[in-house]
Amino acid sequence: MAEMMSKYLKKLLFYIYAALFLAIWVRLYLVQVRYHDLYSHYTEKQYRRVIKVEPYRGKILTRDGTVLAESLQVYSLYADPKQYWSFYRDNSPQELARVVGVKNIHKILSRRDVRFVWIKRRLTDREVQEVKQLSKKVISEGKKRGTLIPWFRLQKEFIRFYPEGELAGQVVGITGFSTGNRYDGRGIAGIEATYNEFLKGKEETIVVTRDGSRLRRIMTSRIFLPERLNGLDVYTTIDASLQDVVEEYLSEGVKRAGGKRGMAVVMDPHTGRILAMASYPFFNPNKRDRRNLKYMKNLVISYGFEPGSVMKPFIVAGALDDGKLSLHERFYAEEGRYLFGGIVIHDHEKYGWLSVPEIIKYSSNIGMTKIGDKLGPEEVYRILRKFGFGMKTGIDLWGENPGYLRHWKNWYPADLANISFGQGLKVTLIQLVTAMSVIANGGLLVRPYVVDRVVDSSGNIVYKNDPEIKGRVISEETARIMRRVLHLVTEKGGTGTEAALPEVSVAGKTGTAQKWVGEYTREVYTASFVGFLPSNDPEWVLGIVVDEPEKEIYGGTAAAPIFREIARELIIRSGKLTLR
Amino acid sequence: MGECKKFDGIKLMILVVIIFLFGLLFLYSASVFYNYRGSMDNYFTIMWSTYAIKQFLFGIVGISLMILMYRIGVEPLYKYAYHLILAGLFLMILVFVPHVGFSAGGATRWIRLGPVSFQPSEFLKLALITYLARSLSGKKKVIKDFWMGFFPYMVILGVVAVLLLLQEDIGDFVIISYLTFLLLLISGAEILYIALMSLLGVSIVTTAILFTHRIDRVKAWLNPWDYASNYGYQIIQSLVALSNGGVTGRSPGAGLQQLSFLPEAHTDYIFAIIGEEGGFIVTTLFIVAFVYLLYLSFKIALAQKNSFNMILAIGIASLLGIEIIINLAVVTNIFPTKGLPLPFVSYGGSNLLVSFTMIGILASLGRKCEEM
Repeated sequence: MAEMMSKYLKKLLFYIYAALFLAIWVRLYLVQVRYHDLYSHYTEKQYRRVIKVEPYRGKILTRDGTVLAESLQVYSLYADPKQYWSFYRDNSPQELARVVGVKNIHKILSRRDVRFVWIKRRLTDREVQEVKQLSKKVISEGKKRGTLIPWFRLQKEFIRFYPEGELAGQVVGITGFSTGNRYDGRGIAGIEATYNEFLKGKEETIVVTRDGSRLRRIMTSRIFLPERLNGLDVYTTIDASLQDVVEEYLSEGVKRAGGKRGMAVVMDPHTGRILAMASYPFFNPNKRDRRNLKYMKNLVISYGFEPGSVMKPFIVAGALDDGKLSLHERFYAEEGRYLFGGIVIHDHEKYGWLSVPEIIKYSSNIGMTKIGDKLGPEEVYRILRKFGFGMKTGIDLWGENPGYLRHWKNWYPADLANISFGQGLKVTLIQLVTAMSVIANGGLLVRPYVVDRVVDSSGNIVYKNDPEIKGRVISEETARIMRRVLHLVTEKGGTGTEAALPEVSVAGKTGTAQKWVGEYTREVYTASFVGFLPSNDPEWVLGIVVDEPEKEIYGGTAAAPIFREIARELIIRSGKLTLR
Repeated sequence: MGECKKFDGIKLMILVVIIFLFGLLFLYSASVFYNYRGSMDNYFTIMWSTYAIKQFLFGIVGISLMILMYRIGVEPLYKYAYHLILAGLFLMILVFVPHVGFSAGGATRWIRLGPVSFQPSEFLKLALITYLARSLSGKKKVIKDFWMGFFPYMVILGVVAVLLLLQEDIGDFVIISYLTFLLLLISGAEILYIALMSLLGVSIVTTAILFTHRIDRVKAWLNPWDYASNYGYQIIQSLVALSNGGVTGRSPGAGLQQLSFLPEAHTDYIFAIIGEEGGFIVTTLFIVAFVYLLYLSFKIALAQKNSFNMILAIGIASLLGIEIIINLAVVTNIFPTKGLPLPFVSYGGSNLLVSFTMIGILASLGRKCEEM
């Protein structure tokens, strides 16, 4: 009986085992076949590792190839305090501190659970070498203590470097502090911002197979590193050496006049190419302290000011072109004092009857008031709009100020008078220079631009800025007449004699605007000179502004000399003319 | 179950050699990385091929031992059964002697003799079966007696249990307890004592699980995804590997789990790697082979007339069966995580040597079939 039971028990045992195997087999079927997909997403995720290949941001260069902005890869050093306290606890921090010259290494390591603290940013090459050597030593020490990972590591970072410093600083602009390891992130000002899409390059990611160990080894046999899609290089229209000279004369001139700020532009009137563009005080994009960042704005395009008399030629040109005004018409200048629209208008000297060219030459406010009165507000407004005032010029830079020009329907009679001689509206220097180009180039409104072309690494032109004519403003004949009139300004008796050069005939218009500081006072001015040369066949248009000068307050004395000095430089460089 | 044939013992030995070589193939293929860095300096290539080579050498020794046991028969085992159990207990104590015993993976289970390390608990299992067979076969008359037929074995089991629990080897403790009670039952010991004692044992183990950190493993077993970062990790990786294999597998060398996502992939979880590389087809073949192995083992055991031989054969067959089943059940997440090797397949010398030896014993018992 017991024998039999034992026999059955043993057989039963085998069948129990067999049944358990069947259960396992069913389970295998479920996991491997039936619900196979249930785990597949998990599989994908854990074997894949995405590696970012970060591009270099493109360069910004002058048209002759001087580098204004470039990206560099540097190393920064960070600590892993938790790693240090878990494994090391030796005197390697002192050694590291000595190598990189950091004093507060103990403070850095004091938070024991933290895994990331910067030790020092942007190491020098020498420091990097020494840190790497020390790292080897620390790793071999770590192996004895049961870790393969040192407690400090190097991190690659990109920084933006501006080799020329202040040169065209505001035009070049700066980049923002970006996420990740990039300190050459999105452009936030100047060309850096406007051409960011070209400059930034494309971040490539590659997917590789990794292992499951803590070291996260990459197992893919051949990693196809994508050709790093670096940013494209942007060539500006700026002439580096001219820019340098312009900046020098501008800063000298502004200091001489005791001005608070200054601007200067040199433009090709036929195409709108900007050859030099400077705002003083200068801005060095390498310095990111608050005091310096204050000067980041490109005043030429963003600073709106009341232009004063420099506006006069545009109204006259428009009126002549429309036939509303004849060149030989005469206006009585009321001996320097004239009541119009409830305000008293002064000239800086007493004049009697003046012809239209004389009104420009002597810059008579009363004469202009009478011309303005003759044209009426609608016509004055229309002319100013045609010359591009109260709207953006469309220059390829961010942050352009459209200026301020009220619609004529909202003008009081006094506004008509003021606007006729350039008060009561705001303009930017780039608008003035573009408007003056209309006269210089024979009547066409061009779009100014600072970038010539965008080029890829093999030198192919990816994008090119072609000159853009926005329309005809005045006839060639009117433009020719106006060039002659504006030449008079620089001749004996005119307000702009300081701009004149013996070698070449120049033309232009001075401006001395009173600044509205709660009221128009005689204390605060904006002195300007906008002109071109040679006056009969202009190659360059120049605009100079000295804002709030204290020593030399007039356009003719503060701005015109700067114009002359830059103009002289231009004709020497052109090689066409030589100094006697 | 048919009658035992003359060649059943030989068949059994051939079968385990095939299982061993097949497992070795997968152990080796885990070192091959198609699509990955082909050079031999690869960390994983070196790691896995080292395992494969060592396992091959262990296998040669194991197969030699198996053939040796087949030739010499079981008489020496009967003769030295008590020596063997004492030697087993001595080795178990040796584990705790400094410089001789050593730890790995958080548990102290090994002793080192020169360059060779050995896990005494593997040897102890065979020694215990031999001892039980010898002792129980001689107690037919007094087997129902508590003091003669039950108590001494509980003392032995208690001593072994203490040693195993000190080594934190819950898995082997459960297996040894199971074997002891099973062999007592087969030998005709009082069912009441066995039932009561088993109940006590089960409740102690359950309490131990509930009131220690092992409860987390049970929870992770029930819902591995909630414990994906700790206790559930191994389970998930194991299931991921198996499911990766699908029906036909990823072809040798194309598996990904050997890239150390799956801990203990070469030892306790080798079947997951096999499942990934070979797919459902190969795992099914393994199941069939294991069932056939047990079939042959039980057939030989059932044919034994000699009481010692019968208990010995049943003990060995049950031990191999329970080891295989627990391992596969853990890999497929039917059981909670428990570190036990898969006989003939998992990397590791101690288990391989003892397993081959046991098959040698069974095969030699199979020779008796023709004498009947």
